[in-house]
Parts: sequence; structure tokens; C-alpha cells
Amino acid sequence: MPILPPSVEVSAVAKWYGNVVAVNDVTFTLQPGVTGLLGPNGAGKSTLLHLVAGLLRPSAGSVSVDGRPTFGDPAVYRRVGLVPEREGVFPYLTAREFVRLSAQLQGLPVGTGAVDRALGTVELEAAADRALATYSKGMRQRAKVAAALVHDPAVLVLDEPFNGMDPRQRLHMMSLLRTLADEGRVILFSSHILEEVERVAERVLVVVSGRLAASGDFREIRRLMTDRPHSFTLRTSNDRALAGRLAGRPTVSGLTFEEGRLDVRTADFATFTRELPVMARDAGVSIFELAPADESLESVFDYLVRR
Amino acid sequence: MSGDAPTSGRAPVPGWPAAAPPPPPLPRHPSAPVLGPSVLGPLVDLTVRGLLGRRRILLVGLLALAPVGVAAILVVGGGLGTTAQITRQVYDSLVMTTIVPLVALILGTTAIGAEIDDGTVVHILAKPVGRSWIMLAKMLVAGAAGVALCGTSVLVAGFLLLRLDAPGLLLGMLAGVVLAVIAYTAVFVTLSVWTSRALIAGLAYVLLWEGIVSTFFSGTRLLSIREYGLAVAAGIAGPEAGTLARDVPLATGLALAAVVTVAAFWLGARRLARFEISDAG
Amino acid sequence: MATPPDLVAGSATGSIFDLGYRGYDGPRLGRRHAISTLFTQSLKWTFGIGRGGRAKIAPFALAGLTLLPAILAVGIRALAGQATERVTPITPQNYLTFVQTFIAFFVTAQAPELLGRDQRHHVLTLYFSRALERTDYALAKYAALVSALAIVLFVPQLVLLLGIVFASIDLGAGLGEALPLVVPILVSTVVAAAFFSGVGLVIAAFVPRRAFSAGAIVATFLVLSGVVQVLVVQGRLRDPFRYIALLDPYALLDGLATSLFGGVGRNVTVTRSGIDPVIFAAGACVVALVTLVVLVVRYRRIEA
Repeated sequence: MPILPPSVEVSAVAKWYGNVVAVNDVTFTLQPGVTGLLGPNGAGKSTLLHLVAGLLRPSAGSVSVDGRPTFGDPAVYRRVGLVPEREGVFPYLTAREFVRLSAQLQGLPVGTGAVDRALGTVELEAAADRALATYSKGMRQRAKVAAALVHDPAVLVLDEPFNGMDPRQRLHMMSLLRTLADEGRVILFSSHILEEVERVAERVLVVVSGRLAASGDFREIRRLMTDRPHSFTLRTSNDRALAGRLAGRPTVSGLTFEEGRLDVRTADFATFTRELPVMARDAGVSIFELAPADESLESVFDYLVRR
Repeated sequence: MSGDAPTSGRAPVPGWPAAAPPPPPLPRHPSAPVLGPSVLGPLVDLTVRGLLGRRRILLVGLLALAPVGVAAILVVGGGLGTTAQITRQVYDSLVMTTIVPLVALILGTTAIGAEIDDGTVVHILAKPVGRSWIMLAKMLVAGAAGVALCGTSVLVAGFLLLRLDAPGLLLGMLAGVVLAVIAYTAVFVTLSVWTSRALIAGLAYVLLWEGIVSTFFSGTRLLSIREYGLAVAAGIAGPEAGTLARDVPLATGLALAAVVTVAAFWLGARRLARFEISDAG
Repeated sequence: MATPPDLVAGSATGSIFDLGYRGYDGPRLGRRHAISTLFTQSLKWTFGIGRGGRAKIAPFALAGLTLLPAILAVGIRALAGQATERVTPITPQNYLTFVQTFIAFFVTAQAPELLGRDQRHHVLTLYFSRALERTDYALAKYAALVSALAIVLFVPQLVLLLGIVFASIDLGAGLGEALPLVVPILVSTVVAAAFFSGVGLVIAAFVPRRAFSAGAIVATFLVLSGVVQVLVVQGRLRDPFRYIALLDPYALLDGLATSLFGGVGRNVTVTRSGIDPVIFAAGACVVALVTLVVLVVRYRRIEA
């Protein structure tokens, strides 16, 4: 079904509690697709998510969905689904009743099958008639996701959604988020586990101490981190010969020569990639593999957090 | 350079079906942006189940049983039998002073306070429902439960003590209790939305304000829900009011109780509309 | 003593030490020390000492309010002289009844603090995995609250006693008047503290959430005294229903004071029920003991 692409805009948003600044001058726009909100604990991820979800009033700046401020406007929840982090669900309700309540509070007519569909999406049909109090943490998470999906929201905000899920459930959830995003939805989720974000998100927003440290595709962010040397791992036909040539180049800032492997560090990525093939050809060396050694989200994150 | 590692998960996750069957078309959303009366039913249902599911209900039941117990003991063990005067005393000093406010306090603070406390209120607030309807649902449930418990208790206790000798008094007592419960629960529900220490604030109001201040400073009597209840009770009991009679007339008590209830509702709905939920605690 | 760091590598001019985990081989202080530490800590915490400013407000405010009538009484007596002796309403005999509400409030404020936190934050496991037994825990907490309350109640009565001693013309006469009161004051204070604390602690032990247990405690005192008073005063009850009067905590308090000091009871339940104050005093002791037993049993069986 066609979903009118929503716009989610956060503009110079700040949130403080007395003297404590939780979020400080954050600006970004969300596009359809999956965006991961990444940051150490206490960095303000939850606060930022709650601001986007209209649960907190910005102390400064604005948060808007479809051009309307999120706070104080219950109508925004027509298009927004929220999966909060806190474990609280109504323990005396069954999953089915909980999702049905969500549907009723969204104004969905009875008997459309939306509840069953939502439960099916998170694979809770079998256990749907047991009280939520008997559920494990991962199952409760799934129940919350089902409740957030029942009205087919265009924007989905999830706070630490993979918390408490076992690997199988996590894979399923990642696949689900990708599917939802491919249908044109805007999905924003927070995590402090890098692998999850790396696998699912197209874009990341890195939040450190309440400020936005970086945003965009994490590989691109890596390229932008110019004051930190890039590391590469090379496998060639003659490591020693190539190493000898590389050692003489000013663009190479570090060289480690090991059995069957050559690690190179360079401060000037662009020049190095232009020079490398020339040097290899001049030395008569064939390059079998050239892989970035530190282009993981982890190293990006590590760098940004320590700055 | 070898290609980007396919880490974004676009490749199908092994073990899961590649494509689910297309879902049936969804119904259109209702035209109104924010929901109104239609959510009352589900919210009332939720609140009732929430109230019944907590252990505090036992305490409330016990409190409501107390006047009946007292009446039973007076009837069985009382040396000189029971009279209307005794009934009035029981009503004034026990029922209206202690039982009704405490029952209303527990019901009122639990109706929404418990959900705010454990964070589940987010599941109600992050929905396109009018905040007034949420308040209404909570107050309805707390009020109805209070009226049911305290009203029954007063009727049974009154019947035990008076039998059918003083129907006016019985009716008056019931009316007073009903009015007081409704007003009290409205105030306590609003209090739980405004502060996380609603129970203590409510206790302070009942014990300190109504207990001490308005007993000793007659000028403040018009600010006490207990007085409204007693005024209505005396007014309806008419000639049988006896010592319950107040300077405050029936109409005034009724009007002020209505004002307090409506004001509580309005203030509560307003506060809910600006309610902030952080992830703290 | 902690074992000294192990040498990992050493030479004449340099050493590397292993700073990892080290064991403890020194003396351990044992169960009695644990109990006395828990007791003193709980006693301090009851007054908010060691817990920051806000925790001190309630106990000190209540202690001050409890002290105030005594100071006023002594002050008035001192200023106005012997003539007002009969007029001053507050004497050691009726003092406890006079401040009965403050006693209830003190217990309401502090019993939840003492027991609620440990239960809510699941700290009991830590306590019980030490030399401390479950019974010891319950006893220490009980003793702490009783002692705290006894102190709060004893100081004003001491002030009253001193007032009596120094207000009379002849020091000897004053002492003669005051000394016979000392034992009754001590006994009544301890028993009163014990049974009020016991009731509060039992409720707090079953209701870990602080605000709610405070509400339950104050509601219990209110409802019990309200119900019983109405019954006794209005009902002119026959035997055996008359003995319902023993359920009123304030009646127990007044009966206790009356039976120790003599004189006439002030509490209307005591006077109207026609029961001998000594029975009330016995009731107070019974409540103090029974609540202690219930508390111990509760902590022996609680899941930690």
C-alpha cells in the first residue's frame, strides 16, 4: 500500500532539566529507511527519541512530524508508532488484549484482522492468549512492537528494541525492520550495540554527551575523519618488495610487516589510493586483496566518543 | 578494492521466508484526528482491570467493610440498643471523616497513579486520544468503584442500625457519601497527574486540612469536601438530620462539590495534555 | 591484612607487580559486630544521619514538635511561678497521651524507611549472606526504631522532670517530687515506643513501597482508634464486646500511662469502656511482643 512519505525534522533541539543538559543543539532530518541512533549510555539517546516521539517538550528548538510539532499533539500518533524501552506493559492483559487495546486507541474498527496480523508479524500468535506477566523480556518487547505496528504507522520509533532478545528473535526483528523500511517508512531506533546498527541501519546518528557527533552513512563518516589515519590490510604476491617501496612514500605513516600480510596506515587516503596501484605495477607486484582494517562502525564510534 | 561488505542486511536473512504474502488492504483511519468517546470503553475496561489486579483492592474492601462491622457490633453488643443519634455519630466521625476519604484516596491515586509510576501510561498517552477522555475514564472508574463500595457499606450499616425507622436519614447519609466520594476521587485522580507524591499530598489534605484546620477555623469550612458531603446529607435528611445539620445549605454543598469535581477534571486534562515522560527510573 | 602484591617480574633495578585480585586473611569481626553495626546504622538512619539533608526533616521536625509542649510547659511554669502549677495541662503523667499523634507520625515516617528500601532494592540477599542471621536483622531493626522513638519521647519528659526539680523552692522537695516519676517514665516510654514501633514495622515489612506503607500505617492508627472510639463511646457495649476497646492504640497508650502514674485516664475510650487501665497496659505489652514475633517470622520467611 502506498505510504505518504512522512517528514521528520529535528531543528536545533535542546532539552535540559535544571542544570543538566540532556540534549544539546541537535539538528537532523529523517528519510524513509532505517536510521540508527547510536551512543554510549547516558548520551541522551532516549531523551532524543522521546523528543521525536512527542513525549518530551523541547527546551529549545523544534521537533516536527509532517510539519507539526510532536509535543502536545495527540494526532501525531496516527502516523507514529512508539516502542518504548521501559519494560512496563500491563501485566494483567494478554498480548492479544494489549495489541487490541492499541488498535482500539488508534480508532481501528473491530474485526479487521489488524491485531492478528500484527501478532503474526512478531510471531506471537501461539502465546497471544497468555498474560503478559508470564512473558520473558524478549516476548514483551515483541508484544510492544506488535502494538506499535497495529495501525500501520509511517514513522516507527524504537528505543533499544533488541534488548533482551535472543539471537533468533534479533535476526527476525532486523529483517522486519528492513522490510518495513523498504515499504517507505521512517524507522528510527536506538542502540548501544554496534553490530545491530551496522547490520540494519542505512544511516547512523552518533550522539555523545547530548550532542550530535556525526550523522550519515558510517562509511562516509569514516572517510570524513581526515585527522585519523586509515588502516589497510594488503595481501600481495610479494609483500616485502611492496613494503620497501611504500616505506619511502610520505603518504604512508605506518607499516607493519607480518607473515602473509601487510598492514599499512596512511593519513592521506585519497593520494594513497592513487599511488598504490602505480607502486605495485612498478614493483611488479600483484595485489590480491586490499581491505580496510578499521572501517567498522566500532572504530568510527570509538573515534567519535573519544574526541 | 574489494566491494563493500554486505552488512546492511539487505540480503535475505537465512532461514526466513523471502517474501510474505501481501497483506490485505487496511481500513482508512477515521476522519477525526483525535479520538473521543469511542476510546472511553477500552480505557474504562483497562482501568477496571488494573484496579482489580492490585493487592490494594483488598485494603479498600476492608475499609469499606468497617462501618458494617461497627454497625453489627453495636447491634449485637450495644447495651442500650441503637438510635438515630448513634447512627449520626458513626456517620460523622467514622464514615465521613475516615473511611470515605481513605477509600477515595486509594482508589483515586491508583486509577492513574500506578500507571504513571511504572511507566505503562506511555501506552495510553502515545495514542491519538483526547486527554479529557482519558481523565474521564479514570475518574469514572474510581468514582464508580468508590460509590459502589462506600454506598453499599453505608446502606447496609445504616439499615442494621436504623432498620426502617428513619428513611430520611438513611437517604441523606447515602447521598452525602456518594457526593463526597465523587468529589474526593476526582481531586485525588488529578493530584496523581500533577505530582508523583499524590498519596502523601492526599493524606496531608485529609488529615491536616480537613482534620485540623477546617475543624477549628470555621471560615475555611467551605473548602472542605467533607463539609459538602455532610451538608448534602443533612439537607436531604431534613428533619431527621439532627446533629448532622450544618450552617452550609444543601444547594451550596452540592454546587461546591460540583465545582470542585469539574475543576479537578479540567485541571487534570490540561496537565495530561502537557505531560512529559522521560525514561528516568 | 590484605596480601601484598605479587611480584611478576623483577630485577636489580626494576619490578613489575601484579595488581589483580587479592584475598583477605585478617581477622573477621563476626556476628555480634554485624548486629551492633546494623543497629547503630539503622538508629542513625532513623534520624536521617548519614542520609543527606532531606531525610532529616521529618524525624527532626517531629522530634521538635514532641519537645515543644514540654519546653512551653516548663517555661510557663518558670515564668508564672507556683501559682500556675495546677493550671499547666502538661505533666509527665499525661505527656504521652498529649503527643500521641506525633508518636504515630514518627512511626509512619520512619518504619517504611527502615524496612522498605532493603526490600525494594533486593538488598536482603546481601545482608543474609553475611554472618548476620535473619532473626538478627529483624531484631536489630526493631531495636533501632524503638530506641529512636524512646529517645524522642524521653528527652521532653526529662525536660519536664527538670522543670519540676528546679521550679520548686527547695531543691530537695523538688527532687523528692521528681524522683518517683523516673521509673514510670522510663517504663512507659519504652513500652509505648515498643508497641507503636512494632505495629508500624509489621506493616512496613509486608508493604515494601514507601508511600503506600506510610499510608497504610497512618490509616491503621486512624481507623483503629476511630472505629473503637465510636463503638465504645456510642455503643455502651456489654461484655465481652467492651474489650474491643483494647484494639485502640491510643487507648493502650493512655491506659499504660494511667496505670504507671496513677490518676485518671484522659483517653475517652479508656474512661468509657470501664476497663481497668492495667489491662490496657498489659495489652500494650502484648502488642509489643506479638508484633516483634510477627516481624521475626516475616523476615525468617521472606524471599531474599
